[in-house]
Amino acid sequence: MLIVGELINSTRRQIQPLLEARDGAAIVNLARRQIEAGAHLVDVNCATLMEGEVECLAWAIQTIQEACDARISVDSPNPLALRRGLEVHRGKAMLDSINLEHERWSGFLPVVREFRPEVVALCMDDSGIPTTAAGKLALATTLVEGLTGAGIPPQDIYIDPLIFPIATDSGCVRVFLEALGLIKKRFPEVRTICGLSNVSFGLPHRAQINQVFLVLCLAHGMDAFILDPLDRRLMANLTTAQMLLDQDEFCRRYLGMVRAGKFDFLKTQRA
Amino acid sequence: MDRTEILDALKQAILNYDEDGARALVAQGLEAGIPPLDLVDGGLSRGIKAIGEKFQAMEVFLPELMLAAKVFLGALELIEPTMLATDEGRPRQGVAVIGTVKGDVHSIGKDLYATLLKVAGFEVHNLGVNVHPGKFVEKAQETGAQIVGLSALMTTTMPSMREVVELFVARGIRDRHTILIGGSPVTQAFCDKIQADGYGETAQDGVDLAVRIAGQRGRPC
Ligand code: B12
Repeated sequence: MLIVGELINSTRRQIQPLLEARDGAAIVNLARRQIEAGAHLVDVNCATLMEGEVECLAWAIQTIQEACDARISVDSPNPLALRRGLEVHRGKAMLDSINLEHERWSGFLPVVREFRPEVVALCMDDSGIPTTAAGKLALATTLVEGLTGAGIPPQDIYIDPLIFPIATDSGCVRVFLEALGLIKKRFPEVRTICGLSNVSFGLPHRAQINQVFLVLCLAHGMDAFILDPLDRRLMANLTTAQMLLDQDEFCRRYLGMVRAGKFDFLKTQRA
Repeated sequence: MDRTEILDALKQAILNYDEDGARALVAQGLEAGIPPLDLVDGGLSRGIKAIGEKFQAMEVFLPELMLAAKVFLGALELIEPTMLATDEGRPRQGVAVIGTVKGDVHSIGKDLYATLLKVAGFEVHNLGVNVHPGKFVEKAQETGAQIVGLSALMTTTMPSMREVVELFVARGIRDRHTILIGGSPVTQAFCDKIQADGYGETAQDGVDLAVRIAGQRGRPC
């Protein structure tokens, strides 16, 4: 299981000013807290800074890596920013994300070839996001073939089948999970990843929906998540579901989390 | 490391659920000439008892108890061949059928008993855990075992020992087999009450008893 912490993202209202002000202490603190909470990588996205993005992304990566031993998921739609980010990154980075839209694919592939990062690859192309499991599998196949052709080993590829809001299509989670199964079966070595928040768009109690979606994804073989690791309930559910799915021999991780106080919030909730 | 340090480290390895560590320490202990049974009693068993106490205090939980048991059995597996090897050329004592009674899955003490019986020269048929009374009877008849050893670790499963004795009576073969019982909640008084043939407080006591009885080829008392 791989967890990517999603909090350092300039689209979040609180974050953009911190990035603009180059508030290193605050950014490092947020990176550190995510790692301590169980994230394996920290996502950094500065896309809303527009022309300031390239420099800001490089600054953020360097600042975080100087202070703590974290790998970064370099998150940008801009090949120039990506290149700069991967240049300054120490160790193996993750690139978030490539897809089959012509411009994105041709712009990112040289960067992928040059730096060989782990790659998040989205099942979409110029005609959009497929709404059937077979359609998602077809794009996943093209992505895997293209990326392995560029020298990325299958285990470094993270396919995101892409989820729609359940509010707009009551069958989309079923299709998503079906696609997940097909992809895992066809490419056992390739990994799968997804974010959680899209599914709940447009509905009340979004967190509740995201929590259950996480568990469903896990049960269907999801290998990685981009999520908020500071959400204690989410992390507790993740650990519990992993235990129930035979990913935690002798319940060691579960009990470890309990002893580390990560379930203490349940007590205060019940009282 | 001296003897005490090795034994303490063995206990600690159980407490740390460290199977590789426990096996390495067993190897080291055997090399240092510590008698195999001392490694069990002075090291491994102390560890599992300490875990049991923590379990009762709700400091450790059921899966951890099971893991500790796995570590114990993993280390015991390494000790057994040495025990057998050091007793090469011993006289053949007889046949024993052993198991943990119906409803009870505690295997550690019973497996230890099996090992020590083998060391003493018995041919041992270990029926495992949660063994139905009928299985004991069947296997005893099939192998002509002199000794039938029953283990129970819970007050709630001790009554099953009586069932086994009664089944041997019902089948009319009670006098052909010697039934020995053991396990931490079992007592001599209980043994007398259910009219089993003998009680061993420790596995070694149970083996001494078995050797004596097999020698007499009859039933005591
Ligand atoms: C390890 C353990 C487990 C492990 C067993 C793993 C395994 N593979 O064996 C697991 C986790 C599976 C387990 C499960 C349970 N356990 Co438990 N377990 C223990 C524990 C901690 C240690 C037992 C042990 O192995 N001791 C070490 C060995 C070497 O000692 P021993 O078995 O007594 O054997 C010695 C002698 O008695 C003798 N001996 C043994 N058998 C025989 C047979 C003969 C013929 C002879 C002559 C001698 C002999 O030789 C040995 C040494 O010389 C004890 C607590 C304790 N301190 O005893 C609880 C204990 C036995 N378990 C207990 C309970 C209640 C359970 C559970 C119901 C779970 C729970 N809710 O707590 C389940 C029961 C499942 C079932 N249906 O059986 C209770 C029983 C209470 C009671 N009613 O009497 C105990 C006493 C703990 C407690 N205080 O609550 N358990």
